[in-house]
Amino acid sequence: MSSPLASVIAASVSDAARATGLPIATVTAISSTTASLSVSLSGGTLTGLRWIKSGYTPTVGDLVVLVRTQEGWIVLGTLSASLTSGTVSYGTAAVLASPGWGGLLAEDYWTWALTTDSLPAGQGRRTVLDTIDEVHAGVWVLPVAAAVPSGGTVTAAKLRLTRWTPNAEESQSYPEADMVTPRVYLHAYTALPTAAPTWTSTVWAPGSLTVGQSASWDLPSAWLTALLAGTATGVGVYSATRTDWTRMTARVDLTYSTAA
Amino acid sequence: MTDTTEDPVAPTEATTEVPTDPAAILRSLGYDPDAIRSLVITPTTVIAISADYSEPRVTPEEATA
Repeated sequence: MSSPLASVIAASVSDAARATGLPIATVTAISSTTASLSVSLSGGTLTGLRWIKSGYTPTVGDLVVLVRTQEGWIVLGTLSASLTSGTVSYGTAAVLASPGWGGLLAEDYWTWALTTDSLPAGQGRRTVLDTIDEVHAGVWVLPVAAAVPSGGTVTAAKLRLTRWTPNAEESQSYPEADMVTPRVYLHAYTALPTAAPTWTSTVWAPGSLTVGQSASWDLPSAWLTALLAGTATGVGVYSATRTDWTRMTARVDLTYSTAA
Repeated sequence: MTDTTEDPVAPTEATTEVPTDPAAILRSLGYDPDAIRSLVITPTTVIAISADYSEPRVTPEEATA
C-alpha cells in the first residue's frame, strides 16, 4: 500500500505527464546496491527508479525523461546538452517613468517641463486666475524593453496609473470631477517636447479613477510590441475637455519568463 | 613520363543549414511556436509575447476630434 506522500507525488507526476506528454526530472542520487535512481521533479522525489540500460550511464544532475509502466516509473534516458534547459523561471519588473514631462497650452503656446512627485503630468482643461485657459498633456518615457532579458517571453504587461491628490487650495481653485477617465496615448518622444504633443496611436480610455486611486489595466499587445521594438518610447495622457482635468503618475508592471 | 600534377581542388565554404520555416526559426531561437503570439527582434534583443497574453477589455479607439 502506498503512502499518502507517494500518492501525492504520483498524482503530481501524472499531472506533469498529462501537461507535457512525459515528465522530465533531475537525477539526485544513484544507488549502486539496488541499481536504481532517485529523481526530483515538481511535486517531490521518486526513488527506486530503473533505467533503460542501452547507451545510458546515469549521472547525478542529469535531466531525464520518465515513462509510466505497469511496474511503475522508468527512466527512458537523459536529454542532450541542447535540451537541458527544461525549466522556466519567472520574473517581474516595475518600469517607472524615466523621465516624464508635463506640458500645457496657454495663450497659444505650449510649455513643457519635467514632472515631479509633487507635480505629476496632467490632462484636461482648467482656468487659471479666472481668465487663462490651460490645456494639459503629459508623456512618460517607459523603458519596457530594457526590463526584459533578451530571450524572454512577456506573459503580462499592465499599465498602472495613479490619480494624484491635490491639496485643499488646489481642489478649490481647479476643481476635478469625482471620476475621471485617463485619455491615454502611445508616443515616441526621447527628449522634452517643445510643441503640441504628437501621438503614435489613437486614444485609449481604459477605465476611470477617483482622486488618489491607482488602477492597472492590461496593456494592448500592439502597444507592448511597439514599446519592445522601440517604435514607441512610452505613454502619455491628453485631453482638452474640462471634466477630464486631473493629474497622474504612470508605470508599467511586467511579468516575464525565461529559460533557466 | 609526364608530370601529372593534379589540379588543386578549389576550397569550398562550409555550408550551414539555415531554417526558413517560421516554426523552425522560432525553435532555433529557443521558443515554442505554440507558446508565443509574436516575437520582437531588435539589433540587441529578442523578446516574445506569450500566447496567453491578456488583451484589455477596452481597446484603443479612433480618436475623436
